[in-house]
Amino acid sequence: MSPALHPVAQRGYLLVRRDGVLWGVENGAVEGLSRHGAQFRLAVGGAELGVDEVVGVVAELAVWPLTGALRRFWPDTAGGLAVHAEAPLVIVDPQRPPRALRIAGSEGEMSDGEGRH
Amino acid sequence: MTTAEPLVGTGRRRGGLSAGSHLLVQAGEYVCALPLRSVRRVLRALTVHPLPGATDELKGLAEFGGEPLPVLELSRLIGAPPGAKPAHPVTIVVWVGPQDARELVGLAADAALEVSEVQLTSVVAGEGGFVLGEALVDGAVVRVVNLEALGGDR
Repeated sequence: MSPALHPVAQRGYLLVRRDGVLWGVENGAVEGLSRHGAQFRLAVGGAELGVDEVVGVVAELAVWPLTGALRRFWPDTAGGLAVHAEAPLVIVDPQRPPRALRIAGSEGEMSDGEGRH
Repeated sequence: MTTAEPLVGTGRRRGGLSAGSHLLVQAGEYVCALPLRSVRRVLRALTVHPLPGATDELKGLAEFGGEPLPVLELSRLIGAPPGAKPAHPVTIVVWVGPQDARELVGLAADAALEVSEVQLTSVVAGEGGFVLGEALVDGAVVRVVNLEALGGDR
């Protein structure tokens, strides 16, 4: 494993689930959390994200960067990958919240740097 | 990262493997050859968590040795027609990409078949992509997978 792939210890993540996928958001990046019916909405990086379930909070996660092979086949944005309770999860990049979690038409939706949304 | 383990229970010592040693696997209707030096582990199919927005080749994420592992569908990577539902599907953990930037991925396949010698000089070049070419093993056509091409960015 190259040095670039060594995990980086981070502290404090909110774990959420959407469509069966587990996501982690740094506690400090969560600007708001509210309930909307059966779902929850998170404010992160100026965007509003929809999640099905708030799983909990973990004090620490080892975060691995996205590998080239994953980026090749998964075009969404993320801050890295981790494992919690033997389940893989995706770390949200607060600067570029993932399209998979964004609520359509929410403010703060950002382009991908190539003019696309 | 876990330490290196024995390969696939072939009973062979590492020193006894040649550059032509390949693991033959069933992927849809095709038999593929994976360079044995790049095979880290063969496991009963790992539980995979699909990622929204992924291409068809990416089956999802799994956990392997306490680390997240992208799992790719081998039959999709090589364009193999789908076969019968596998009785004992496997996940083959392999190194991909160039030597100086290699990374681990899982390849979902229908079955691990055997270890065989594939002389690279006998490989007939394919159309590119992730198939290096085709070779004959015991009279049957196998597709030699180009694992180096799988790593890194396009």
